[in-house]
Amino acid sequence: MDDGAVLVLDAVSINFNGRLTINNLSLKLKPGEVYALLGPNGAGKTTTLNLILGFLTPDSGAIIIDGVDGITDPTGARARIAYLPETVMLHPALTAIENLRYFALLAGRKIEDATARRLLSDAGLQAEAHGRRTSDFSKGMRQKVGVAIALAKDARLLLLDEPTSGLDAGAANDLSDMIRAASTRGMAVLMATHDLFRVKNVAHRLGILREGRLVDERDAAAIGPVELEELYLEKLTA
Amino acid sequence: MIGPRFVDLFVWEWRQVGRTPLLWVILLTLAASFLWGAGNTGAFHNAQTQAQAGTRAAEAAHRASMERRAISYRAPVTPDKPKVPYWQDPTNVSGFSQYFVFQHALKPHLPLSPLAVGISDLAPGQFEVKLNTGFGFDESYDFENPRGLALGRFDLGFVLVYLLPIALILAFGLLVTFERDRGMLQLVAAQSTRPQLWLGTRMAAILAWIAPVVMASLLLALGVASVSFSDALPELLAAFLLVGGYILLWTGIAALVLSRMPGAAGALGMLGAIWTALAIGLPLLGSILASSVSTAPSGIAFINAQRQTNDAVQTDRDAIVRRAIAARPDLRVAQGDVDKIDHATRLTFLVPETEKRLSQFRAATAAHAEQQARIAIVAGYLIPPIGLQAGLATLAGTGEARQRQFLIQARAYQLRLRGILYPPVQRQIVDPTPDSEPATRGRLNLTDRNILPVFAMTDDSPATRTAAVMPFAVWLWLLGGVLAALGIRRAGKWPPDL
Repeated sequence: MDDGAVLVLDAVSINFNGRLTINNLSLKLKPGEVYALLGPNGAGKTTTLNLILGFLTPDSGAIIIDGVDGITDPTGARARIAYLPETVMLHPALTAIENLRYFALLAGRKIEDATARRLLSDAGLQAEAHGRRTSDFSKGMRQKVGVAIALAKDARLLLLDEPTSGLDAGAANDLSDMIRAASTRGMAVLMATHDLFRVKNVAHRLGILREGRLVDERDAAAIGPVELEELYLEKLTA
Repeated sequence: MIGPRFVDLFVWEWRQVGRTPLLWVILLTLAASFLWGAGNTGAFHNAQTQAQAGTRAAEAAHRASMERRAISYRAPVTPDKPKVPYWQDPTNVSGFSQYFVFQHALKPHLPLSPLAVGISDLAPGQFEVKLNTGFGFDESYDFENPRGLALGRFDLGFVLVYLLPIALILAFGLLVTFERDRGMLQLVAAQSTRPQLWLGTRMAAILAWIAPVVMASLLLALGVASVSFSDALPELLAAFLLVGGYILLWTGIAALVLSRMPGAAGALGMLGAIWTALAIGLPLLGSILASSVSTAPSGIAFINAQRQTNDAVQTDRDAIVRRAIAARPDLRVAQGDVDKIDHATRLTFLVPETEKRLSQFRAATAAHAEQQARIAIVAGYLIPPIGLQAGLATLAGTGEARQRQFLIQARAYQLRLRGILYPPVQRQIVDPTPDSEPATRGRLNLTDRNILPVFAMTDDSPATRTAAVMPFAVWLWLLGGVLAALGIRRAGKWPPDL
């Protein structure tokens, strides 16, 4: 069923209070592929990510992450997933390095300070901030630590939830670079976003989610920015 | 293996938890409360011990004064120094028995008494044991300020039973829910750590700081309160076992509540409600149930019966004395001389008769007390704060059971004194000591006044006291372990609403 795919969602559905929040969603991501899941608030993007992370159990369908069944073995599946939430919150009393080492440890990896510094630099965090407590970090700086946490995990699949929300242009651009770099290293990336501009820049494929259903799916290269916006609006109002 | 090893994560968590200012605020507050509580009780018990020493000194002074009078009453009667009345004459055996016996039953404090005030601030630790007071002693003592009684004394037992759980609730409730409230838990959960491992290591790390600091603070507080550790070693070890079990119990309760990964408000609300139920609600309910199951004999009814009995005995006093003498072959010859018997000698017959007539009330009161004690033991297992309070008081020697032992021994002491003095007093009825020639001021029918033994309370051995609390300590460890295991098991999945 997976054909070497890193992520397979097969006819996944979930109900909340009698409402079909995700309706028969199927999706397949190959290594190195960047997939953008577009949709308005409440379309089911975050629910999809939570299903993949194993925080929610679908009522029907299958979820396979790098060959591991995400429903029966959510912890094993999570070991193959790096995740960057919309807002990365860190331990304010710990330094960036300590935060990174802590989350790496939670992922089962013990990393030394030097490795942590390299990962933070790779994520774009300036060296002077590595040893500082994160209590006064901006959202962008915390996001970079979050990226370093994701990189430290050396996962097969990267999930991003509204990754550019609230970031300034420079930080958002750095994030796009990171996504491309991850893709180049063979990591599959699934990003839930509103950011059509960024999608066009980094994604290979995009899907539009409406009321839990995937209503359209395109190659990002085959569609121009204006066309994408028109398609998005059309699918939301149809 | 997926995810971190327990040891690696525990070491990390232990270091981080130890850096949390909140933990140290909680622990230092607790340590200060321990010091205050132990010091408070230690000072109170020292004052009681000094008062007991004062009582013994008063007894010695009384004996010395009595001896001086006895010596002076050997002098012959002169016009200006006539014969002294028998109630003022310590050389007269009947006068001595009623008016000069000044003995006390004292309950000394045990080496670990600063551990818990128990009932030592409510129940008397010393009685004057008079020969003819019904049932051993007057059950009256100086009342404390009712406000003080209502609030209770701030002692180490109070801190351990009531404040220690609050400290644990705050530590677990705030340090485990931090990630949840800060919005970090999703990122934590997205790594490959099982929720059971994460919760277990965090709680174990908190416990690994709290438990040793609590034990060290306890030791320090008792040391400051002048407890001799070598004298109280078995009881001290048992106290550590009890406190350790109690900490584990509240850890188990916290694990059950925190297994669903609530926020701080939810966790503190739930744990606070459990604390209120265990510390206040259930004991109150239990008390109401216990008193409804077994109603206490009415104190007013007893006083009423006592007055009626005293009146009846006084009315029939001659007949009672006559019957008592008639029943005694050694005294029977004096049946016709009842009118000549002095008041103190009459009491040797009347007091036992009064006690006999009131014995059913005393038996009912004693039976009720024993039943309540049995109910309290069961309640202690069902409501652990009650059990811990009783256990600490048992080890400290301030518990209800030791008080009952004291009362029983004090009564036995009174009967022993009667056994020594009643026979010579009654022998005077049929075989009076001849009057001295020439007539002396004193009667001189009691030459040795140092015939009464000093009360010495017989206590259970430290091993017996320790053994008495062991079943409850084992129960606490068992219950705490089961609850902790259930709590960790319940945390099988990360909550869906991260």
